[in-house]
This record gives sequence, structure tokens and C-alpha cells, in this order.
Amino acid sequence: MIHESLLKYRNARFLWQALALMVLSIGLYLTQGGVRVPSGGTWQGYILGTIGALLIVWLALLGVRKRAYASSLGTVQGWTSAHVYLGSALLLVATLHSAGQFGWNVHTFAYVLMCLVILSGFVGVYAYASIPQWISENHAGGNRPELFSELFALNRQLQLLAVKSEAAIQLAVTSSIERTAIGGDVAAQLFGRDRSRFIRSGTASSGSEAVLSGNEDQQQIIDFVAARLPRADKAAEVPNLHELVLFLCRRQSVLRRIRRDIRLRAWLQLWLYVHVPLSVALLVALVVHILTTFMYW
Amino acid sequence: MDVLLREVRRRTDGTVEFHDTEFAGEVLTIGSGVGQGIQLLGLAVAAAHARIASSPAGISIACSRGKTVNLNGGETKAAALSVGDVITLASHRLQLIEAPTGFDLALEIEVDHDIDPSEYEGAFQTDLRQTWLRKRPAAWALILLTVVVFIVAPLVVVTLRSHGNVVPASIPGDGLWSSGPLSMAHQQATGSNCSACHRVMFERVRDVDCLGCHRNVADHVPEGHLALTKFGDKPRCATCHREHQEPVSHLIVADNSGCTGCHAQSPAAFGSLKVGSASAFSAAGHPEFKVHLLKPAASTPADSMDAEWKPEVSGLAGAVENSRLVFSHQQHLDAARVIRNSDSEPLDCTDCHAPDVDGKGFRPVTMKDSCVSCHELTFDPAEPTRQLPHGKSREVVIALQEYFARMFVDPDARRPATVERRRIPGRTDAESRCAGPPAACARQATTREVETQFAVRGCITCHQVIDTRSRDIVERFQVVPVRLTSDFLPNAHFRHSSHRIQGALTGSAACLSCHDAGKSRRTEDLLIPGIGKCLTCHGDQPGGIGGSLSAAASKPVNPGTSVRLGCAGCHGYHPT
Amino acid sequence: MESFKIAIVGAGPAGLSAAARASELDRKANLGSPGHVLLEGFGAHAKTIQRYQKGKHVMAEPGFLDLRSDVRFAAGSRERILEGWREDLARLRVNVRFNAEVTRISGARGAFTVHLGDGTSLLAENVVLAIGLEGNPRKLGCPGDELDVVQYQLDDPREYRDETIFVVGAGDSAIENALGLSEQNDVWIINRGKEFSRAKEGNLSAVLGAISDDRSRLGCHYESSIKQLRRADEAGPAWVAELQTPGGLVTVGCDRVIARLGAIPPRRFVESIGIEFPNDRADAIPGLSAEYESNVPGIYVIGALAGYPLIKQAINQGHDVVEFIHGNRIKPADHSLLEQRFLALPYEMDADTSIRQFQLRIPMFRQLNALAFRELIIESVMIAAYPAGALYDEARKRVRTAVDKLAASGRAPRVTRIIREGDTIYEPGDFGTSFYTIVDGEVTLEVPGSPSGAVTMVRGEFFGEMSLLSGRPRLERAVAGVACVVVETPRRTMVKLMSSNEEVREGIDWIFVVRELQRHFVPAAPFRELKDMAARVTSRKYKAGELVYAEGHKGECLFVVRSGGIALTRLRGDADAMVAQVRAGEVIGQMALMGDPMRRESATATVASELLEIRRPEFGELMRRKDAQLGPLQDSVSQMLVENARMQVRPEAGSVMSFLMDQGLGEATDVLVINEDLCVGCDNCEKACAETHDGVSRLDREAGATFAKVHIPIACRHCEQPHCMKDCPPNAIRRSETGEVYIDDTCIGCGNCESNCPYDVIKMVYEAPEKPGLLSWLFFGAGDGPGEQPGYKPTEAAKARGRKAVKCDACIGLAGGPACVRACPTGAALRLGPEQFIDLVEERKR
Repeated sequence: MIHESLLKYRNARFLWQALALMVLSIGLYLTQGGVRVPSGGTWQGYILGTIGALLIVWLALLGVRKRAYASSLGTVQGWTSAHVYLGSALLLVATLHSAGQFGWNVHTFAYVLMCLVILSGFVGVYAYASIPQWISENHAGGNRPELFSELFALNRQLQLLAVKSEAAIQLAVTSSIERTAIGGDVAAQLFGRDRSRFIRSGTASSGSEAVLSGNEDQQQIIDFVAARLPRADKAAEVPNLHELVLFLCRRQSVLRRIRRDIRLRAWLQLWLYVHVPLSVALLVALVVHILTTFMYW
Repeated sequence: MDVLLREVRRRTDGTVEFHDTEFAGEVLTIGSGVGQGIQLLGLAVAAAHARIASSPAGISIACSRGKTVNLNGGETKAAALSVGDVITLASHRLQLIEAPTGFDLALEIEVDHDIDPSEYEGAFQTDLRQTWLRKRPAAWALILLTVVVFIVAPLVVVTLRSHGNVVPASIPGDGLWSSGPLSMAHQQATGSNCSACHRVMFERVRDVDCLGCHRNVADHVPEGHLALTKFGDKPRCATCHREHQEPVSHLIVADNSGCTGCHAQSPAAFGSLKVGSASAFSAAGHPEFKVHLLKPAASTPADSMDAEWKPEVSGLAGAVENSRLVFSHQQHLDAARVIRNSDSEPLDCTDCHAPDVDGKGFRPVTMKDSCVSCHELTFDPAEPTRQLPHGKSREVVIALQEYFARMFVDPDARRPATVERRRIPGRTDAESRCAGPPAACARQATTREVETQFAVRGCITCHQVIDTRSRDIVERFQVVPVRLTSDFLPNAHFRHSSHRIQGALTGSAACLSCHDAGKSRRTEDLLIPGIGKCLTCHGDQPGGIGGSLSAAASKPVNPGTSVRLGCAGCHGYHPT
Repeated sequence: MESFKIAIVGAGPAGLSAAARASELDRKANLGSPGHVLLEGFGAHAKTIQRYQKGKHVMAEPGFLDLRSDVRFAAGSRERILEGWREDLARLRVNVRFNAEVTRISGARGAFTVHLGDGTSLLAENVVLAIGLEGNPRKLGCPGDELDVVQYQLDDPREYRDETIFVVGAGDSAIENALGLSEQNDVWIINRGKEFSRAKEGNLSAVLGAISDDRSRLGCHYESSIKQLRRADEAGPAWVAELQTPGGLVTVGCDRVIARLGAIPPRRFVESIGIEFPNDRADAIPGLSAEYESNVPGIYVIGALAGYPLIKQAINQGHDVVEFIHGNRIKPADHSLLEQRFLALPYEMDADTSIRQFQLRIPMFRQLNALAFRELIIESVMIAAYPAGALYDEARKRVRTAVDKLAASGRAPRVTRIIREGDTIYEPGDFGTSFYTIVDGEVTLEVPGSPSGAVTMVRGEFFGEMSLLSGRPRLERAVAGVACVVVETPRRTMVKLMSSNEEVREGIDWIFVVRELQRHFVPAAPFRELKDMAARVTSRKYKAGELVYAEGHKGECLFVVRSGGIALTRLRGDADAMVAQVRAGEVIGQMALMGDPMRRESATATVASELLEIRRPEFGELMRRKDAQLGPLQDSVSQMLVENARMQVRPEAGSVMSFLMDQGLGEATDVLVINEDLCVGCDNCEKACAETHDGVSRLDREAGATFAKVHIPIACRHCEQPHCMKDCPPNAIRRSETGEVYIDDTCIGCGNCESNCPYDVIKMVYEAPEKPGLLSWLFFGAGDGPGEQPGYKPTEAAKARGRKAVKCDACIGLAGGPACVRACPTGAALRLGPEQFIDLVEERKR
């Protein structure tokens, strides 16, 4: 492929720049070693802190650059690549700035926020580097609208077939379609929990009550219909039931792909729900940190 | 509530099919979500869109917040229902029909199955954006939290406290702004009250607030002196004293730059003050030591008893000690000539120079502690326990007078055998005997003994004695007082105890490696080593040897491991 | 029988204007009875515009052309324009007859008999044909088919909801209308036959599926037709239709009848009058004089039928043709345009003389009728080269003064381009597709790396035909020579000319062939010697997917790809593995003539292609020439062998390449390719597109095909020969020199490009409404954020301006290149040229 991942962007030029920054910061830090107590208050500490603050502001500017669509200031990919590497370097720069002096104060609060942002960023890098492949493999050339179209078409065909079947089957199949759960709340999307149901009722002869029963992964409805096959009242029903089982299995397969797609996409996006709000909070905490530093100078 | 749900399906050939299902429950829910009593798909249908409930007052429909249904042609949020009402939701149609017996309600439902497949996905939550997860509200919440906890609350607490209100410690105050723990003393003294030191916001801690407690701290340079220099204001307390660094800092910035900032400059910068420049602890960067010696003032006779002694600074080279003592270090350290009384071993430095309590320097050398064990002040061999008092020449004479008076007056006191057996060298027996009246004999013996002690072999051994030739024997001899310098280098702290072991050298060898006492024959010899001696082991850079001192000039005791020495290692800032 | 001086057929813009002029001249001449008659087969004027959807904005392109007519015309809503013309008809007392379909015209100048549909006829001295190209839609042919319930066109099926609609017809348009309408309406297709025999595959399966689906609201009456339509008297649907079905006569209520029975093209009628067309091509235009007179004296043709599809042009011609018939030798309305064209030529001559001179100087255009040549010049740009220095400066000053003067009068004139002698007209690699004719002086063509060096061309010769025909970038550098004056004709004009004039087409064709022969085989051979050979080289057309030659067969010829793209495949097991994709300008099959008669691979056209076939005798003859150049040919064979082998050992690369070709990338020049392994689905590309293009995204990331992690989203590929350009009335679709195909703001919203694009990349959209600012979104979530608002509601003003076509313009003019690519955070989106496809499938060096 001619495409370049953001980690390898331009031979990972920002990796080298980030490493250079890190070496520089360590060197700067070491100049206070032995003589002065390393802290954020030495001139080296001020320089490290200024670098860190500028880095944070610049890293946050990715959000602006990303939306400055007509901007010709580098590509967003370049920015993101630099964002990843320089963001990682920030972890070291800020730690050196703090010189390991932590406490229950706004300064450490900002530091912890920054660490959380960077760590969530690491999660994001991993997610961006690996999940798209899994999504792509799961799609097998299609995309989500196509999967839903296929599911929708299967629903229609199943409903048409169900109409021709006896009432219990019809109710079971129709209800299994209507009560198919896809996605849902956060946990359901992330862990693919399936709360599908269907209405199970007896045949006309047994006459048992209709009950709402679980239908995880559509297996129960398949079993239910398959169980009817050898007990079919009329020979004419058999081909129809065969067909039904076949379509239900196809539907199961499509549903699995959809659920996996939802799950993967949810994981792909989840980190941003941590990264972005924390980044914003970090910016504010950074301002407070600087403000209070000079408030009680 | 029992509900009959009748689904109407119109086929293209015009026929209509009905599919009946029953619903039993308190509330009949309508929406696109799974598990709704009536599931209707479409973009306009929310997951839980509306609820139909039965109450004694009748059947009613209520929509979820922000949703509406079309009831008989008009959009409505909630309404009572009666038979014949038509509810449309997106393109789906529900109609209330006459409920058959046994049912509370019957609904005819026409589901529009012709929704676009793309709308089908809309019936489900398939993206995190559709869940409660929100970036913007979360960000605002975090911003609010940060601002309230770390800005607003501390400011409020500070304001309240400044007006004398008591705020419980559990409420976060300006302690949240603290950049680190205070030193114990400051914490105790201020009671963790930030404004004790940080009086004005956005203004650095002022010296007056330090000096409020530290009243006795003198300035490094008096204002008047500073004015003579070309330097500007004096540094702030906080230039050197950094708080909020505990437990690592001990409040002092161990950095030479604070000192060399001024002192490295050429002497001209000091104006009329005479200050040598020092930029580093090295041969090139630091001037040679200058010793403070006690010298008699020029106005008084040098050897007189009442000479006025004044400390005087002088260069190390050619500096002469003026202790008025007669002493040869070499002689004392020569094992062939002097051995210790107690164990007959050669003398150690510590036999005379006992470290003082803090280990920094030495207790003053005194007759009693250092000399008398060898130099006993006996005068009569017949009575070896009898010693003359030290230090007061008048008392010595009186003691001898009393002694000899008693000897000649009280015959019992005599022990002639001893006297006879032993005679004073250089005297004839006849001379040592006295045939005169006892009082005269006593006076004669006293005079003889006083002259011997002061001028021949007693005091004169170590001291300078002035023979006034006075008739009065008591007044005749005067011993010049000894003035030992207690600290030759008072402006530098040197800790002898930490230098008692220097690599392989211990004990006297360690002392002698700096103080060349083994060759000192004269009392006047000044045994203070120069800076070059220090530089063999010290430098201002860790791990290396300071300055331009070449390796050949002096070998470090342990090459490569010289000990870093900053300005503050030797020098104090505040005058005491 | 009534008799008129002028009978005008067709009350479209051209006919209206002509009739209005005729009426004015009648009034001036104080005639007692009208000397003109306007005959319209339809019940109202401007039938085509009547059929536009309600409120459609009608544009008044081209802006640089002045309007000269008695009828009003300015850009505005359909209603305003139609109402204006209706008033004009009354105000000017135009003698108009509606529902007067002309069935036949006989006679000769001075005494034509015009036969009408109702059996009557009238006499006319002159006839003006202003009937347009659409022809008349086939009518239902039953009582009531003139009622409002019947419509012959459907713009937006979503405008109707819950109606009962009959769609009459069984063609693609009927099926598409019915499927669209059945989403919200009950629709019945009235099909005269037993099946849908004329439908495309996709439409057929869709319509049959829908009909058989119980839940769909679409039904079909086979072997049925509407017998009668009338207004219903009872409640329910407003209309009642009587249907003749196999089961008998059925009466049903309906709200609407849409007749899609096709139209009767006007050509047969025109030919029946005796007017000749130059060839059988569907887009051929009858030959006309400068005064719009056809080969039948006394019969004049104006408007779309004469090759002028724009309303303003037609209106002007209507005015002028009547003046001509009255014997007034007026200058046509576009005369000033012509003068502007010649503004800075090095000689002072009036425009008419110049144009006559020019035509004489260019052998290929000599046979062209004056009108066509005039049109060609008006649509072209003149380029005049002056020696650097005073003359050049003086000419530029002259042009600038003139331009300023015209600009002050509110027009943006297109004037002569002034260049210096020695300036380049185009560079190798430029994407221009215009065609150059030298009317004076000389031009030098330099092919980089060619041993023959520069070729000097003189008056009457032309160049640039390679890019015109193949759509490929220029291969040579054209340098203005001494005192050269060149006509630069846009591709569209040339294509129109070539399809209507055999001589022009052949003239260009043989030069093309000669130059291809020179380029590939005999660079130094003179034109004249190759002319004969060129005649023996045949040009073959292939449809997409058509086989050119098959592996294992013996070959007797080689092919030069003239346009399109060819895939070379080898059989591997029982599947074809792609080994190479060949583009226009390259040679295939040469091995067959170079020692290995057996074809080692199959060649298939990936897109519609045209190939020059060179058979063994011609090839031998070429090779026997002293100046034959075998070296480069052999080198290219060797290089191709290696590349093909490399592709063959990596069948997965071949299959990706086949996929790309299947997606039509064989004709692409710049295509958006997404690597699915990197794409996180953030849609930032779409957002960037929308944000940089007035809020409407021109690409659909998720849609489109995917294969082996290569995803080709729905986005313009800037085809070598853009399908969209084919039929753009205002010539609004252009190609920049750097290759971007874009739509300028003269778009009239006709939608031709949308339907012509095989890749669905053109959308007809209303302007998107203004969105809240980015910051208010960022901070408070106002609006939908960046990107296109899903299902946005256009403002009333935007609706009034009408839909316009939008497509990717590869962010032409945006510094840094396409926003979609630059906005991709992960590097998943890239825009590739065809030469990079091989890199796309190539394994990265590890």
C-alpha cells in the first residue's frame, strides 16, 4: 500500500523530534542535579514548565487544526503524528518539570489530568492502529449500511415466509425480528450483550401459554423452528420450515457481523470520550496551575 | 389492562389481513426500541416514544420528553383517548376500536413496512454518540469542577479567613495552591496559613515578612557598604531560601551562583570595599587564604605585658604566629626526644590538641590539659607532689616564700637527708646550706628558687619572662601572657573532625598531611595550609578536581573522587 | 387558405422570440392582418420550461451574451419567466395557435404548405423551425390525456405522498419513477406488454421484486392500457381512470397519471421536409447558412435543433432570423463577441472579413458552413503572439483599455489572449483538452526526449488533437512562433463539430493516427508519407468489458490505445489474473508482430475505449523504413515483460488491480483511495469537503466498493474523458490545466451531468443554509458541527435559486491540495493518479 500510517508518517520524523526533545529535557534537568534541588521553581524548571505548557496548548490545537479544513498548515495526519509523539514526550517533560514533587494540590491535579490524557491517548493510538483492520475484516468488503440493508431484506423475507407458517412459528419468527436487540447503551455496545427475545408459544395442539423467552445470538429461535421441523403437522410445511431455518441462520450470521461492528466501533471511539473532556479540563487546570503559581509567588 | 392488538396488513390485491395479539400489562409502550409493546421503526420514532396507560379516568397516551404523536391530525404530547381516535407516528397508524369483551382496549395497527433500510439502523443505538456518553458536557463538568475546587473555593476560604471567620479545615482552602510541604518550623510558626508569608497576591514573598520572625539575622552587607558597590539591591531572602521543597532542600539553595554573582566580579565592582574576587573553588577562581592573626598593636610595646592585641589579616606567605610561647612542634613530635609520660610512646597531636565538643575545632591548648603531664611544676625534689601554681607569677613567688619559710622555721618539716643527698646542680653544698637565721635563710632560698624557676629552668622553658630587676621579689619577674589564636580562618568553617581520616591517613598522619608540624622548630611557624592543600581533595565540581590545579602539582588522596565544595561549604552568608 | 409571410413552428424561446419580432415588424408595416403565425403543438408556450418543476430557477447563461429580443428574459423562477412570456405574447399581439401540431411541410420558398394535426393547412412564404430537440412526448392517446392529471415528467418523487398514481410505460424512466413514487404512494405501473423487456438489469430486478412483494406499495397491470380519464364526481381521489385489462374494463380512482412513453424525436419530421443531416449520429445538426437557412431555401432552423441549447442564444436567433427573412442584413447579436475575439489581432479588419479569411486559411474548416465556423470562433479564444517589446506592450495596453471599457458596462468580455513570441502555449503534462488551429504565423512543437526534435507548424495546421481525443495530458510543448495567431477551441465545441462534420472528424483523426505512428515507430517520418498508411489503420471501439484479444490466440496486429484503458490478464488456474493496466497512448500486442505470434495475455477494455489497430503489413512497412525506430519499442516490450511477470507472481496484487479496473479507475486521473486498515471512520474527509465547499460534501466515504482493504469511496475520479462534460448546455464543466474537472458557476441545474456520470459522484443540491459558527459549536454544541448537515433544509432563497450540480473539484485553488486528504488524521485517505496504482498494490519494502 502507498498509504502511510500516522506512526510512520514521513519516516517517523516526529518520533525523532520527540526523542530529541526528551534528551534535551533530560539534559536540562540534569544541569540542576547536585547543586540545586530539582523543582519546577528553578530556571530549568521554568523552562521545562514553559515547554510543557506550550506543548499542551499546541497539542490541544490539533482540535482546532482538524476543523480548519481550508488550512494549508501541514496535513492533519502530520499534526496527528506529531501530536502522538510530542504528546508522549510531554509525559517526560512534565514529569521533569514536577521533579517528582507531588502533593494534594492543583499542580499535581493538573499533572494527573495530563497523565490520564496521555494514557488515554496511548489507548487511542493502539485502538487506531489495530481496530480498523478488525472492522475491515469483519465487513469483508461491505459496510454497515449494507449489513443493515441485508438484515432488513432478510427480515422481510422471513416475515413473508412466516406468514405461510402456522401461528406459533409465525409469532415466534415475527417476534424474534421485532425483539432483536442490536447495540444499545454503552455497556451493550462495548460488550455486545444481546438482550434479544422472542415469543415462544406451544402449537395449536399442545396449546401452552405464550412466553417471552431469551434469544441470545438468535440461537433459541433457530432451535425452536428447527425443533418444529420433524414434528410438522403437514408435509407441505416442511420446505417452508427448511427455508425459515436457512434464513434464520443467515440472519444470525449477519447479526453477528453487525454486533461485532458495533462493538469494534464503540471501542474505537471510547477513548475519545475520556481523552477529549480531560484534555479540555487539563487546559483549564493548566491555566489554574500557572495562575496560582504566580498568585502565591 | 388487557389490550387487543390487531395488526392490519393490506395486500396489493386489495385484501386486508388481520393479525391479533394480546397484551396484558400496566403500560403499553410504543417505540422503535426492543421490548416495546408496539415496535414501530423509522427515523422519527424514538426508542421509547409514547406510553398508553389505563386509569380509572380512562385510557390516555403520553409521549416521552420532546416527542409528539399525531392524534386525529394534530400534534400532541399527551391526551386522553377514546374509541375512534387515530394516532399516527411517522408513517404508522394506530386506531382505537371498540374493545371486544374481556379487553380494556383494542388497537388497530397499520405498520408501514416500507421504511427505508437505512432507517432501520435508526431504530437502534449503534453508535456511542447515541448513548449517554457526551464529550462536551463532560468537558464542561470537569472545567466547572476544576474552577470551583481550585479557584473559587480557595478564594472564598481565603476571603472568609481574612475577615476572621473560621472555616472548617475540611473545606479545601488555598492549601491547594501550595507547591509542596513547608519546613517543620515554618509550618509550626505559620499554622499552615499561606497568607502569613504570601501577603499580597501576585507579589513575591517580601523580606519584611521573613524578618518579622527572623529579627536577629544580620545582612550580609550592611546597606551602607552595599551602596559603595556597583551592585544593585541586595538579594531577597527567597533568592537563597526556597520554601515548599521539604524534605529535600533544608531551605538553602546550594548553588554557588548566588555568591559568584557578585563575588566573581572584578574587585572594581566592589567599589571602595576591598574584596577579592572568587568565581569557583579552584586555584584560579579563589584567592589564597588569608589568616587572621592576633598581633600586638603597634602603639604598645611589643613585648610588654600590657600590649594591646588586635586581630590582623595577613597573607599566608610570611605570616608569623605571635603566641609569645616558646614551643617546637618538631621537638615534641620527635620520638627520640619526647615520649609520652604514661606509656612511653611518641606523642600524638591529640595529646595536646583535643577536639572541641562540636568537632569543628579544638579546645584551647592549656597548661593543665596539654603540658603539665610532662612539664610538672615541681620545685623541690624532696617533695615531688608539691607543685607551683601556673599562670600567676605572683602566686608562684608567694608559694615559694611560704614553702621556704616553713622549711626554715619549722625544723621538723625539713628532711635534710634528702637535701643532703641531692644538691642543686652548679651549687656547692655550702651554698645550699644556710647557716643564718631561719628567716634570712628562707628569704635567701626563696630568692634563689624564684630566680631558678623564672629565669633558668621553670617558666622560661615555655614562656617569655621579663626580669624587672625589682627589689621586691614578688614583683621582679613577669611572664608575658600567651595569646593563642583560636581560629586563624574565622570566615571559613572548617570541620576538623570530618577530616580526621583522609583516605589511608588517620590519626596524626592525617593532621600532619595538612599541618607540617614535624618540621616546625619555631613557635612562630604558622602551620595553616594554603588553598592548594584543600584543592587536592576538593573542587567545586563533583567528581573532578577543582580549578586549574594540575594533577602534578598535588595528588589527590583518592584520585578522581574529590569532594565538591560549594561556597556555602566553607562560608556563611549572614554575619553572626 | 390562410397565407403568411412567416410560419414559425414551435413556441419555445426561439419561436416566441421570432414570432414577437415578426409581430413587431408587422406592426411597423401596418399590416391589416398578421403576416406571421406561431404554431405550437402543445397547449401552452415553452413546453419544456412548463414541465420544469414548480419554482425552478431558470438561469440566463451565457452571461457575456447580450439579449436581443422583443420578449423579456432574465434569470428567475420558472413561473416568472413563463408569465413574462405569456404577457409578451398578448402585449405584442403574436398570432399564436396552440394545439396546432405541424405534421408535414411541403412546397418551396414562397409557397410552403404547412399541414396541421387537425387536418387543416396554411400557406407560408418562409418557415422557421424552432422545435427544439426533445420532440413530443408520446401521449396516452385516450380521451382525457390533455387533462391536468396527466404529466409527462417527474422531478422529485418525494414531493408526492399518499396518492394513488398510475405510471404508464415499461421503460427505465417509468420503472425509476414508479419505484421512487412507491416509497410514499400507492403506485400502479400500466404496462402494455407482458413483461419489462426494455428495462436495464438493475431496474428489472428491482421492479419485479417490488411487484411481487406483498408489502410494497407498487403493483403492476400487465397487458393493460388507460382507455379514458375523467374527473371523479364523488369523494376520494380526484380523478377516475378506465383501465383496459386482460380481465376486462376496470374503473379506478387515481390522483395522478405519469406517462413515460418516450418522445418522438424531431429528426424524422425535419428530414421529411427535405432538410439534410451530415451523418446518422444522434447528435448531428443540420447544415445551416450564416442566416440559419437550411439546405431547403425558405426553411430556417434555430434554437436547440440548430445546435444552440441555451435559452438566450435561441431567443437571439429568433429575433435575427426574422430580420434576415425580412431582408435586413443586421449583424447577429453575438457580433460584438466576435469583435472582442479579434480585438488585439495584429491586423485591422472587420470581424466578418476576418472570419471569412480565417476559414479559408484552414483547409479542414473550409467546408464547414459559415454558421458553424462562426460559432466555433465565438466559443474559442484567439491567441496572438507579439515580439517581446514595444509591440507586445502596446497590444496588451490596447486589450486592457478595451476590457476596462467593456467591464465598465457590466460585462466580462472574453478577448484575445496576448502572448510573447517564444512563450509556451502548453507544457507536457498539462491537462488541457482544447484544440489549436493556426491561422497565421507558426508554432513549434517540442516533444521532450524525442530524437526528431522540434516540429514547426504553419498556417492552416492544427495541434493538440491527442489530448482532445484521448483525454490524456499533453505530451509535447507548444511554443508560439513568429507572428502566430492561434484559435484555441474548447473540447466541447470540437466534439460537437466532429460529430456533425465528417471532414473535421476525419481530418483530426488522420493527424492523430499519423502522430501516433510517428510517436511510436517513426519519429522522423514526414506527414505526407504516413498519410496513406494512416488511412489503412483502423480505429476500433470497445465497450467496457469487451475483449480485444484473447490469450492463446494468434495475433496479427498490435494496438495503440487511443482512449480509455485496457486490462491485460493471464489465465491462472481457471481465473484471470491481471498483469497490467494499459492507458491511452500506450501500445499493446506488439509481441505478436515481434517474433511471438501467440498472445500471452488477454486484453480487455476496462472502460469504453478506442484502439488503433495496426496490422502486420502496415507494421512491416513501417519497420522497413529507414527512419524506423525499433529501439524504444523493444525497450518498452522488455519493461512490460518484467512488470507483467512481477504482477503475475503476485496474484493478490493483480486481483486488487482488477478490482480497481472494475471500479472504472482505468479512466481515472485522480482518485480518492482509502486504506481500510487505517480508516477510523471519523468522516473528517467528508466534513472537510463540505466545509470547503459551501456546506455540501462531494464525497461519500462509507459508500463505494472495497476490496482487500482498498476502499474506493463515491468521489470524482476526474476521468480522462469526463462523462459529465459530454452534455453540459452552458459548458459549465471544465478541466483545469492541472487536471481537475470542476463545475463553474454558470451551471443551469439541468442534471445532465448527474445522469451521465457512471460513478454517481455528481449531486444536484440546493445551497446549504448557513450554519452556526465553529466556536459556538465547539463550546456549546450549537448546530451539527462541521460537515454537511444531514438532510438540511434549504432556505427559500436557495430553493428559488434552484438545484445546481456539485462535484469534487479536487479543491482546485486550495493551497496544499485536496482538503479530504489533508484532513485525514490517520493517513487513510490519499488521492492517486493512475501511475500510482502500481505503488498501491506494491508491497512495501520492509
